[in-house]
Amino acid sequence: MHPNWPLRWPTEWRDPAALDLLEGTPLGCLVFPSLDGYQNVIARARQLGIAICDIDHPPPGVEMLRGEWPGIRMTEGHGDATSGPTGAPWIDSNGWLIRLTRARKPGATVWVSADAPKTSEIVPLSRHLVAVADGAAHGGLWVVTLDKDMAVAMAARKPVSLDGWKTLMGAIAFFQAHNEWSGWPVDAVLSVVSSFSGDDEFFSHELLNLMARTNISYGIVETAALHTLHNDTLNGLRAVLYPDAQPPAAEVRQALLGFVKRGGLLIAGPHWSTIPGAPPGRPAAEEPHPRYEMRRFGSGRIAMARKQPDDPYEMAQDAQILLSHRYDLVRFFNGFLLGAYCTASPDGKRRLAHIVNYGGSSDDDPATARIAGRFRAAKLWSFDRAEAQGLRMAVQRDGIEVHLPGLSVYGGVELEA
Amino acid sequence: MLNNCTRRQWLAAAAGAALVRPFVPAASAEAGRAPRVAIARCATYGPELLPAMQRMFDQLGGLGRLVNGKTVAIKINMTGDTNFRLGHLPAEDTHYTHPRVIAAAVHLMGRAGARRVRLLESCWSSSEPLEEFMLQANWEPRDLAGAAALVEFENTNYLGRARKYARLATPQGGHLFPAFDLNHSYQDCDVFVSIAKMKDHATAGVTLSMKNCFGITPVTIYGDGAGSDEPSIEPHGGRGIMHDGHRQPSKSAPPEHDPATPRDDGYRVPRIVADLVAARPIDLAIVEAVRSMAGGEGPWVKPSRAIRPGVLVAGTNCVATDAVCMAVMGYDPMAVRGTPPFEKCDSTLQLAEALGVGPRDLRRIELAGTPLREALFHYRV
Repeated sequence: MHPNWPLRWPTEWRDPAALDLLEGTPLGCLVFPSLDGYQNVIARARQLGIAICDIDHPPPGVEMLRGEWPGIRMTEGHGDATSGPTGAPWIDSNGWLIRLTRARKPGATVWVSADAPKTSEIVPLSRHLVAVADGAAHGGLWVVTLDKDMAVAMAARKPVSLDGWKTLMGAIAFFQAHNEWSGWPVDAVLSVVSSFSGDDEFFSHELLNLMARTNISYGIVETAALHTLHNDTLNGLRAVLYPDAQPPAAEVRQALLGFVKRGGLLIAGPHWSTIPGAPPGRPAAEEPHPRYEMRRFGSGRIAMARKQPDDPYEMAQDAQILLSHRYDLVRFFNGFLLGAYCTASPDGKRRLAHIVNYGGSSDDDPATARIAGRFRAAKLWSFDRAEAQGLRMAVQRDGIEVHLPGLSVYGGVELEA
Repeated sequence: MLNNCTRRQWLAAAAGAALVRPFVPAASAEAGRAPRVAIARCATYGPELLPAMQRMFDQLGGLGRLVNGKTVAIKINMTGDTNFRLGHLPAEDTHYTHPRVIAAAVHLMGRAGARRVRLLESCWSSSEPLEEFMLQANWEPRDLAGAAALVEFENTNYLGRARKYARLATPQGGHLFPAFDLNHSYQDCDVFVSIAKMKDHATAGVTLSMKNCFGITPVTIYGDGAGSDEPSIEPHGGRGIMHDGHRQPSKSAPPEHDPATPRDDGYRVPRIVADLVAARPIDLAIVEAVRSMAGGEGPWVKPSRAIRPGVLVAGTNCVATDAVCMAVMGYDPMAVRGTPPFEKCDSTLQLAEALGVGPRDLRRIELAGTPLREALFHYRV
């Protein structure tokens, strides 16, 4: 994680004295829409040792993404949240985009930004906190972007806004203090293997976005990288999803078939069968699927779509059923607005489930998380506590349940194997 | 005391009775003799459960005469999304029928010679296999699959494995619907069993073995996402159109008799349930409340609370069984609209009785097992 956490300099702040607000905060880089018109601020910032950049030219080693405000998408002019294809409130997250970028550009620091909210929007503090948590949980840095009301109030040093600012900076400091988490690899049961570009870009990107709304804990592997990665790239996975319309290159196909032969499940489009000699394997004698033909190959299975999927949500849902909920790593109860990103420590001894409450406030109904695996201890990290609090585990067959105390924005459930 | 109505209640009952047709025993009802309903105390879902259920079935004349050599379809109750919990409690401890009750019933049916047992539920807003839905509730479907020799699962919220929907007609025409188009599983069986949870219900007053069957309707036809002309392929959303009647089911299915009838869910839902259990008779009703919830049918109804009545009820007549359940819950099974628990709705029991499905008067029901007074658990404090 880049040491300089970025702040988009509010257009409302013209006086260099506003830089005083950054004193003692973890913010270390100011992002300007352009460097013109802010010379006084920039000069003062440089004196203070604060880094400067314009939004189109981030510092070296930083990938700047155009994201969106994470959270529940609200209907304009109405008080209620819009619904997505799930029928549940639609959740926006930058997680998939951050993860895709990190997969394609290993070692890069990923910043994600979005325009300041429209002036007509009421932006509660929780929305800023969710944006920070959503980015950091997935290994990226949200470019702090104040809404107009907050920027103006802060410039006027209004106590309520300064309290909010303090809370926001506390959240950022929390993630900075746990910087090592951003290097923990995903704890995946399935990987999406795609070019993620060209004709397949839109579909594969939407697929990643929508798969994050399912319970599948997934990894991301670019086809271009597959054959250059270690042979064990796909080891430990239960399934691989190849959504591209184009047949894979020979070496990618070989890697995927090797995975199936060893017992994995490959979910792919019909063009898999257009390869000479394909389709591989023999028809499977299991329950038919309305959209997929099941074939056996080696010790594994191939689920081949009868026609090229054109609905990424449907494919994400189908993948979850083809894989089975049996392999859900995290399952929530009373957690309609919760999202999880599961990681494991590099030594494999600890797991960390980043849980973001995209609703931004704890519900009346307390949430429960069911986490697959056997663990010795569980604890919960949150913004407002320097130390993690122990969680009582209810041990179940193949998993544990932990009760999540009022989770307003973020909780990191750390599990000791 | 139960059945100890006040004059006001009696007058209300008499007025209500005028609204529906009188009880005429149907051929399928146990005409000529009082239907028997068994009650059993059962404090836990542990080792005492299986013998308690076995005892109840024996008191009803034995499962063998009902299921031997037959295909048995069991409608279980997994209402709503699996995400919902009352506090941190597992759904089966509050609003879902407990899988151990289901497993025990399946096991006993297998032992009694059932050729095949098919577990049925309309999974919330999804065409996913029922086993997958169960996994999301933290259930292990393999435990159920292993409870008897041949156990199948089907999500009945859509067409499923069949080529077409099965049309089941309502005898005597029904209150609202003359017939229903349902998943084939409700027709392709010799014996139909409803295993329900004993609960209050925000719309229907109580939800027992009959109300459990509201969920046999596929939302592809009877749901908000139903196709206009033909059923939708995928099930989406709930059964809002059944509740408020803001539109008719898909045109491929029989419409309701009279779209001018009240669009009030307290009027509609009890009538639809009565029509459903007349169209798809329940051969065995099992209602469990070892643990349950009071105040509503699911955690989304507030306020509601977890309870431990520690009781099981079973019978071969669903109206009689539900009547006994109401008595166990501390309600008067003869209650009519305006009296607890039917303050805002009609009595499903009264309406089903009017269709000849069975009696709700405890004086016309033979009780077996645990005496009613020992099973009494007041759902309303």
